[in-house]
Amino acid sequence: MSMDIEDRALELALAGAPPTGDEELDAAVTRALADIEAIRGGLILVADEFPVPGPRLRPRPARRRRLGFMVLGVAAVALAAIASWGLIQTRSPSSHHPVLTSPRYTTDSFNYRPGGLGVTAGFPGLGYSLPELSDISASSADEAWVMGTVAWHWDGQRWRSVPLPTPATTWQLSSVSTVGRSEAWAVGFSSGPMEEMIATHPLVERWDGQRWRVVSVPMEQAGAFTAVSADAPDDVWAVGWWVPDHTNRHRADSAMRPLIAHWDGRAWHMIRSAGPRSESLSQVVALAANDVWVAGPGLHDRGIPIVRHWDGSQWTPVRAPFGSADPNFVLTATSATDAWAVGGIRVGRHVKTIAAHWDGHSWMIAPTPTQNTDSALVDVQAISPTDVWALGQSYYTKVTHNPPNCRRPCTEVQSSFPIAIYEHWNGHRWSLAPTTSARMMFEGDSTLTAAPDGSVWAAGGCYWQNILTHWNGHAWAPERHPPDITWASNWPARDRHPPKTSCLSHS
Amino acid sequence: MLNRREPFLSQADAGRVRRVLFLNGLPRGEIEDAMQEIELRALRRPPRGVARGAWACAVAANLAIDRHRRLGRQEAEGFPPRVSADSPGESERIDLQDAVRRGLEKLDADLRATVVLRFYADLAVSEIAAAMRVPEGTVKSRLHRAVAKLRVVLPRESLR
Repeated sequence: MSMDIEDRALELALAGAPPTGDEELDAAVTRALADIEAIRGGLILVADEFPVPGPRLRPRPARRRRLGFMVLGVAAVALAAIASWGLIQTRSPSSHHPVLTSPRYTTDSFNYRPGGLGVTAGFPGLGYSLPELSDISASSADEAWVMGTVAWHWDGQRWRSVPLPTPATTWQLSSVSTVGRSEAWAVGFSSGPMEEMIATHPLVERWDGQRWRVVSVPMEQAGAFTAVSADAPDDVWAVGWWVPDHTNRHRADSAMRPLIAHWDGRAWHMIRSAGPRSESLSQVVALAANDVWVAGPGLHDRGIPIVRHWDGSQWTPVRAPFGSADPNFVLTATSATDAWAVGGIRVGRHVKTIAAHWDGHSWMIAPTPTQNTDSALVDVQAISPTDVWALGQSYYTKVTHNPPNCRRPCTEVQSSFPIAIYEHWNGHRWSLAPTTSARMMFEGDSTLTAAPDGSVWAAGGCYWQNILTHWNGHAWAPERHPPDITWASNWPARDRHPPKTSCLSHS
Repeated sequence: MLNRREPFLSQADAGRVRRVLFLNGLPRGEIEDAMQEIELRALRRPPRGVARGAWACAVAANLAIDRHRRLGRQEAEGFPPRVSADSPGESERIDLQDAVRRGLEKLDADLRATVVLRFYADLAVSEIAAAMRVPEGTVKSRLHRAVAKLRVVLPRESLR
């Protein structure tokens, strides 16, 4: 019986719950809190045994605001450490319950794109927020969507912000697919309140030509959609993951399983894989009702990725293009016998672009241009077998072995900010496409789309800006888009400094 | 000509991340390699909108878990032996240090990473869930189990 109370007390202590009024339980919570603080202090002591070598740091460029935020964060950690020490050393029985919350910041949503730990962008501590763009999709020269924490629509003339329905809880849209002027689909997840033992639920929204509306999906379990692809109004595919029993705390039944869903024009049908492996799907390419590709990064971060093809009656496993060398590859296809996979692989201390073509039987590596010391391809879309666009990032990396001021052995890696590179396949070879700006910085989850009529767009981010670029027939050029930064209403006007860093350079 | 970018992590954050790797039982000889892997991942798909230090701590914990799964726990390096106490109050500190150190070594990699991320790196439950790709409920239950196991080995005084 007393074990039950200890158990419950620990749960309350970990959740930072207020006193219950039950004397025995509250006393147990106080003990649990003291133990948690002791563990916190013990971890700091153990960590201090590891001497931290001091790597050489270059003076930061004029970005004091962000630096200031980091200094605040470090100070908060230091304060927390000092506070926990006080508790350990004096061991005073506190009359009230200290609340165990992170003093720095909290994130209210996250996504599961491979390799990324994305959250709603912005630095609450700096008083502003920035919309995060997850995906871009164009169906023609005058129809395109950019989705993320906002929805931006291209009507052939300009980008405009369009309101999104907002579920009561936190949410994020990870992927968008444009069918035409009066139909587009976006998927992602919504998340329940943190106190409840609810993870995330798949979220689907549909554009009907007038507005975005939430479409319900028949699934009660936890899960999320990560990608959507529509090839016709009655043939839309979405993929992601689901969890059989996220409330079962003491069993390993909380592992992710692959999730595939199909819209037949009237309703969503869920195909839940019950496989024993913990894995998720992150990509889908729908070409026809009997020609669908899905892919995912495989088990955890390091397994062999999954690739499967649907021929209308069954899923056929396809060998992963780069094995485990790049589980975060990106897939595109025009048919069951013409697909491309692109990504980046480590070669020694550097990263190089890689692309492979699927002819229906095997993957064949095709040479791709590389730029600077490191480069990787991060997105790709095929218009036809002789017209394929890929978006990449390139940067300089300098590796120094045993630099001064660094305890040996030590390897210091310094890298430049990534710039966007665009590569095009003309049926014979991959080549670098020109840009109007000599230096166009892209970081984060950059994304590219190519419409059947040859309209091509890319979206990325750079410090405090989102950047949209498009192919004007001769070069990649930036395009104006709706305003980015939203300042918190309580943030003083004198401190609202627009970004000074230029992410585009004509030099 | 491209300007050289400053390192992804500030010096303070890099130190914190190294210690997260250390607390998760990564051998000292592999810590700098892991740091480089984190830098590369950051360049490949940099985290946006999340504090870099928090993101890097989470990646560090995942790297440590992966290593334990690949090589098994036996090959992971134990912590160095304790140093002796010679000042008053010091022995109490060392008792706590020893207890937590031994407790950590007995934890499964998942539990160990969770407790280090929560109470050393100070990540929120939702951040840990996102980083480890498990539901928040799983993080909470791992935290519960890890703390329950660590409590048992704490020095008597700390049990108040």
